[in-house]
Amino acid sequence: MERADSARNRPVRNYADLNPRYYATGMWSHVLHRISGIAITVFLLLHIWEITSVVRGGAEGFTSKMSDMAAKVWVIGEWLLFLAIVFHGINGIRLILLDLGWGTRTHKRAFWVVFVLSAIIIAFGSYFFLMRFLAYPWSA
Amino acid sequence: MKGSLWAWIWHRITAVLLVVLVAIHFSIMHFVDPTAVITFADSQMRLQSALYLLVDSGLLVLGLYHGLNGIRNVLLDYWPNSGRVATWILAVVGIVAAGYGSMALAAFLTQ
Repeated sequence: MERADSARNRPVRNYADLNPRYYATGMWSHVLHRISGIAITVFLLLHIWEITSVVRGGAEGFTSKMSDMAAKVWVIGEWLLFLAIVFHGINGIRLILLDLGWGTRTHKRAFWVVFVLSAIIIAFGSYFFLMRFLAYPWSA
Repeated sequence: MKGSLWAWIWHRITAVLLVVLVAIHFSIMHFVDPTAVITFADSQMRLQSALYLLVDSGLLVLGLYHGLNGIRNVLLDYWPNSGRVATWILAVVGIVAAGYGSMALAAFLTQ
Protein backbone atom coordinates (compact mmCIF):
# COMPACT_ATOMS: atom_id res chain seq x y z
CA MET A 1 0.00 0.00 0.00
CA GLU A 2 3.04 2.22 0.25
CA ARG A 3 3.01 2.80 -3.46
CA ALA A 4 -0.69 3.72 -3.54
CA ASP A 5 -0.16 6.21 -0.72
CA SER A 6 2.79 7.86 -2.46
CA ALA A 7 0.68 8.23 -5.63
CA ARG A 8 -2.05 9.85 -3.56
CA ASN A 9 0.34 12.37 -2.09
CA ARG A 10 2.40 13.06 -5.17
CA PRO A 11 2.89 16.83 -5.20
CA VAL A 12 3.29 17.51 -8.94
CA ARG A 13 0.86 16.37 -11.59
CA ASN A 14 2.24 16.98 -15.03
CA TYR A 15 -0.57 17.84 -17.48
CA ALA A 16 1.97 18.60 -20.23
CA ASP A 17 2.29 14.87 -20.98
CA LEU A 18 -1.21 15.04 -22.49
CA ASN A 19 0.21 16.77 -25.60
CA PRO A 20 -0.48 14.41 -28.57
CA ARG A 21 2.92 15.31 -30.09
CA TYR A 22 4.62 13.02 -27.60
CA TYR A 23 2.23 10.05 -27.76
CA ALA A 24 3.54 6.55 -28.41
CA THR A 25 1.19 3.72 -29.41
CA GLY A 26 0.18 2.86 -25.85
CA MET A 27 -0.72 6.49 -25.12
CA TRP A 28 -2.93 6.69 -28.22
CA SER A 29 -4.68 3.54 -27.01
CA HIS A 30 -5.11 5.07 -23.54
CA VAL A 31 -6.41 8.43 -24.77
CA LEU A 32 -8.75 7.04 -27.43
CA HIS A 33 -10.09 4.47 -24.96
CA ARG A 34 -10.73 7.23 -22.43
CA ILE A 35 -12.39 9.67 -24.83
CA SER A 36 -14.63 6.97 -26.32
CA GLY A 37 -15.47 5.72 -22.81
CA ILE A 38 -16.51 9.16 -21.55
CA ALA A 39 -18.56 9.75 -24.73
CA ILE A 40 -20.35 6.40 -24.36
CA THR A 41 -21.12 7.08 -20.66
CA VAL A 42 -22.58 10.50 -21.48
CA PHE A 43 -24.65 8.84 -24.20
CA LEU A 44 -25.85 6.14 -21.76
CA LEU A 45 -27.20 8.78 -19.36
CA LEU A 46 -28.93 10.62 -22.25
CA HIS A 47 -30.27 7.29 -23.54
CA ILE A 48 -31.81 6.52 -20.12
CA TRP A 49 -33.41 9.99 -20.17
CA GLU A 50 -34.78 9.36 -23.67
CA ILE A 51 -36.22 5.91 -22.85
CA THR A 52 -37.72 7.04 -19.53
CA SER A 53 -40.01 9.35 -21.58
CA VAL A 54 -42.35 6.36 -21.13
CA VAL A 55 -42.42 7.08 -17.37
CA ARG A 56 -43.13 10.79 -17.91
CA GLY A 57 -45.47 10.63 -20.91
CA GLY A 58 -46.79 7.06 -21.09
CA ALA A 59 -47.13 5.12 -24.34
CA GLU A 60 -47.97 8.23 -26.44
CA GLY A 61 -45.09 10.20 -24.93
CA PHE A 62 -42.63 7.43 -25.76
CA THR A 63 -43.86 6.88 -29.32
CA SER A 64 -43.80 10.61 -30.11
CA LYS A 65 -40.29 10.93 -28.60
CA MET A 66 -39.10 8.05 -30.80
CA SER A 67 -40.61 9.55 -33.94
CA ASP A 68 -38.88 12.86 -33.08
CA MET A 69 -35.61 10.90 -32.95
CA ALA A 70 -36.21 9.40 -36.42
CA ALA A 71 -34.24 12.17 -38.18
CA LYS A 72 -30.96 12.22 -40.11
CA VAL A 73 -29.12 14.28 -37.48
CA TRP A 74 -29.74 11.60 -34.81
CA VAL A 75 -28.66 8.83 -37.19
CA ILE A 76 -25.28 10.62 -37.49
CA GLY A 77 -25.11 10.64 -33.68
CA GLU A 78 -25.97 6.93 -33.49
CA TRP A 79 -23.30 6.17 -36.08
CA LEU A 80 -20.64 8.09 -34.13
CA LEU A 81 -21.72 6.14 -31.05
CA PHE A 82 -21.34 2.93 -33.07
CA LEU A 83 -17.73 3.89 -33.97
CA ALA A 84 -16.92 4.66 -30.32
CA ILE A 85 -18.48 1.43 -29.02
CA VAL A 86 -16.80 -0.85 -31.56
CA PHE A 87 -13.37 0.67 -30.90
CA HIS A 88 -13.83 0.76 -27.11
CA GLY A 89 -15.04 -2.86 -27.00
CA ILE A 90 -12.30 -4.33 -29.17
CA ASN A 91 -9.52 -2.26 -27.63
CA GLY A 92 -10.96 -3.19 -24.22
CA ILE A 93 -10.51 -6.89 -25.02
CA ARG A 94 -6.87 -6.10 -25.86
CA LEU A 95 -6.46 -4.29 -22.53
CA ILE A 96 -7.94 -7.22 -20.56
CA LEU A 97 -5.60 -9.65 -22.35
CA LEU A 98 -2.66 -7.36 -21.48
CA ASP A 99 -3.82 -7.33 -17.83
CA LEU A 100 -3.72 -11.13 -17.92
CA GLY A 101 -0.15 -10.92 -19.18
CA TRP A 102 -1.02 -12.06 -22.68
CA GLY A 103 0.61 -10.25 -25.60
CA THR A 104 2.59 -7.71 -23.59
CA ARG A 105 5.48 -7.97 -26.06
CA THR A 106 3.24 -7.50 -29.10
CA HIS A 107 0.84 -4.88 -27.72
CA LYS A 108 1.77 -2.30 -30.38
CA ARG A 109 1.02 -4.71 -33.21
CA ALA A 110 -2.19 -5.71 -31.39
CA PHE A 111 -3.29 -2.05 -31.42
CA TRP A 112 -3.20 -2.12 -35.25
CA VAL A 113 -5.14 -5.40 -35.20
CA VAL A 114 -7.74 -3.55 -33.08
CA PHE A 115 -7.98 -0.86 -35.79
CA VAL A 116 -8.34 -3.39 -38.61
CA LEU A 117 -10.99 -5.44 -36.76
CA SER A 118 -12.85 -2.23 -35.83
CA ALA A 119 -12.73 -1.06 -39.45
CA ILE A 120 -14.21 -4.36 -40.69
CA ILE A 121 -17.09 -4.29 -38.18
CA ILE A 122 -17.68 -0.57 -38.80
CA ALA A 123 -17.78 -1.13 -42.57
CA PHE A 124 -20.35 -3.91 -42.08
CA GLY A 125 -22.50 -1.91 -39.64
CA SER A 126 -22.29 1.36 -41.58
CA TYR A 127 -24.38 -0.14 -44.39
CA PHE A 128 -27.35 -0.40 -42.00
CA PHE A 129 -26.84 3.13 -40.70
CA LEU A 130 -26.69 4.42 -44.28
CA MET A 131 -30.06 2.70 -45.03
CA ARG A 132 -31.55 4.46 -42.01
CA PHE A 133 -29.91 7.80 -42.86
CA LEU A 134 -31.36 7.73 -46.38
CA ALA A 135 -34.83 6.69 -45.20
CA TYR A 136 -35.27 9.37 -42.53
CA PRO A 137 -36.04 13.08 -43.06
CA TRP A 138 -33.65 15.82 -41.92
CA SER A 139 -36.04 16.87 -39.18
CA ALA A 140 -39.00 14.89 -37.91
CA MET B 1 -9.01 -7.27 -0.65
CA LYS B 2 -9.35 -3.52 -0.86
CA GLY B 3 -12.44 -1.97 -2.44
CA SER B 4 -10.42 -0.41 -5.22
CA LEU B 5 -9.15 -3.84 -6.29
CA TRP B 6 -12.71 -5.16 -6.44
CA ALA B 7 -13.64 -2.10 -8.53
CA TRP B 8 -10.83 -3.02 -10.93
CA ILE B 9 -11.94 -6.66 -11.17
CA TRP B 10 -15.64 -5.76 -11.64
CA HIS B 11 -14.68 -3.26 -14.35
CA ARG B 12 -13.23 -6.19 -16.34
CA ILE B 13 -16.06 -8.66 -15.60
CA THR B 14 -18.71 -6.10 -16.64
CA ALA B 15 -16.59 -5.25 -19.72
CA VAL B 16 -16.73 -8.80 -21.05
CA LEU B 17 -20.49 -9.09 -20.38
CA LEU B 18 -21.14 -5.68 -21.99
CA VAL B 19 -19.35 -6.66 -25.22
CA VAL B 20 -21.85 -9.52 -25.61
CA LEU B 21 -24.93 -7.53 -24.50
CA VAL B 22 -24.11 -4.49 -26.65
CA ALA B 23 -23.59 -6.74 -29.70
CA ILE B 24 -27.06 -8.29 -29.16
CA HIS B 25 -28.71 -4.91 -28.48
CA PHE B 26 -27.13 -3.20 -31.50
CA SER B 27 -27.92 -6.10 -33.84
CA ILE B 28 -31.59 -6.24 -32.84
CA MET B 29 -32.15 -2.47 -32.74
CA HIS B 30 -30.15 -1.40 -35.79
CA PHE B 31 -29.44 -4.30 -38.12
CA VAL B 32 -32.64 -6.42 -38.19
CA ASP B 33 -34.86 -3.64 -39.60
CA PRO B 34 -32.64 -0.57 -40.09
CA THR B 35 -35.35 1.86 -41.24
CA ALA B 36 -38.01 1.03 -38.63
CA VAL B 37 -39.22 3.86 -36.39
CA ILE B 38 -39.46 2.63 -32.79
CA THR B 39 -42.92 2.66 -31.20
CA PHE B 40 -44.21 1.82 -27.74
CA ALA B 41 -46.04 -1.27 -29.07
CA ASP B 42 -42.88 -2.71 -30.71
CA SER B 43 -40.75 -2.10 -27.64
CA GLN B 44 -43.41 -3.61 -25.40
CA MET B 45 -43.53 -6.71 -27.59
CA ARG B 46 -39.71 -7.08 -27.48
CA LEU B 47 -39.61 -6.67 -23.71
CA GLN B 48 -42.22 -9.40 -23.23
CA SER B 49 -39.43 -11.86 -24.07
CA ALA B 50 -37.39 -12.79 -21.02
CA LEU B 51 -34.15 -12.78 -23.01
CA TYR B 52 -34.57 -9.21 -24.23
CA LEU B 53 -35.67 -8.00 -20.80
CA LEU B 54 -32.53 -9.61 -19.37
CA VAL B 55 -30.35 -7.96 -22.04
CA ASP B 56 -31.85 -4.51 -21.39
CA SER B 57 -31.69 -4.81 -17.59
CA GLY B 58 -28.12 -6.06 -17.87
CA LEU B 59 -27.13 -3.16 -20.13
CA LEU B 60 -28.73 -0.68 -17.73
CA VAL B 61 -27.05 -1.92 -14.55
CA LEU B 62 -23.71 -3.19 -15.92
CA GLY B 63 -23.39 -0.24 -18.33
CA LEU B 64 -23.96 2.28 -15.53
CA TYR B 65 -21.46 0.52 -13.26
CA HIS B 66 -18.81 0.24 -15.97
CA GLY B 67 -19.30 3.78 -17.31
CA LEU B 68 -19.43 5.54 -13.94
CA ASN B 69 -16.51 3.52 -12.54
CA GLY B 70 -14.61 4.55 -15.68
CA ILE B 71 -15.40 8.22 -14.92
CA ARG B 72 -14.17 7.58 -11.36
CA ASN B 73 -10.88 6.21 -12.75
CA VAL B 74 -10.44 9.36 -14.85
CA LEU B 75 -11.17 11.63 -11.87
CA LEU B 76 -8.72 9.72 -9.66
CA ASP B 77 -6.00 10.06 -12.31
CA TYR B 78 -6.12 13.84 -12.22
CA TRP B 79 -7.35 14.44 -8.66
CA PRO B 80 -5.95 11.57 -6.55
CA ASN B 81 -7.57 12.99 -3.41
CA SER B 82 -11.10 13.03 -4.82
CA GLY B 83 -11.61 9.30 -4.09
CA ARG B 84 -14.31 9.19 -1.44
CA VAL B 85 -16.33 12.18 -2.67
CA ALA B 86 -16.18 11.01 -6.31
CA THR B 87 -17.20 7.48 -5.35
CA TRP B 88 -20.22 8.67 -3.37
CA ILE B 89 -21.45 11.17 -5.97
CA LEU B 90 -21.09 8.65 -8.80
CA ALA B 91 -22.74 5.91 -6.72
CA VAL B 92 -25.77 8.16 -6.13
CA VAL B 93 -25.93 9.07 -9.84
CA GLY B 94 -25.74 5.36 -10.73
CA ILE B 95 -28.39 4.24 -8.26
CA VAL B 96 -30.80 7.02 -9.27
CA ALA B 97 -30.27 6.33 -13.00
CA ALA B 98 -30.65 2.56 -12.53
CA GLY B 99 -33.82 3.06 -10.48
CA TYR B 100 -35.35 5.51 -12.98
CA GLY B 101 -34.38 3.24 -15.89
CA SER B 102 -35.98 0.25 -14.15
CA MET B 103 -39.18 2.28 -13.84
CA ALA B 104 -39.16 2.62 -17.64
CA LEU B 105 -38.65 -1.14 -18.11
CA ALA B 106 -41.47 -1.77 -15.62
CA ALA B 107 -43.72 0.68 -17.50
CA PHE B 108 -43.36 -1.38 -20.69
CA LEU B 109 -44.45 -4.52 -18.83
CA THR B 110 -47.40 -3.02 -16.92
CA GLN B 111 -48.96 -0.47 -19.30
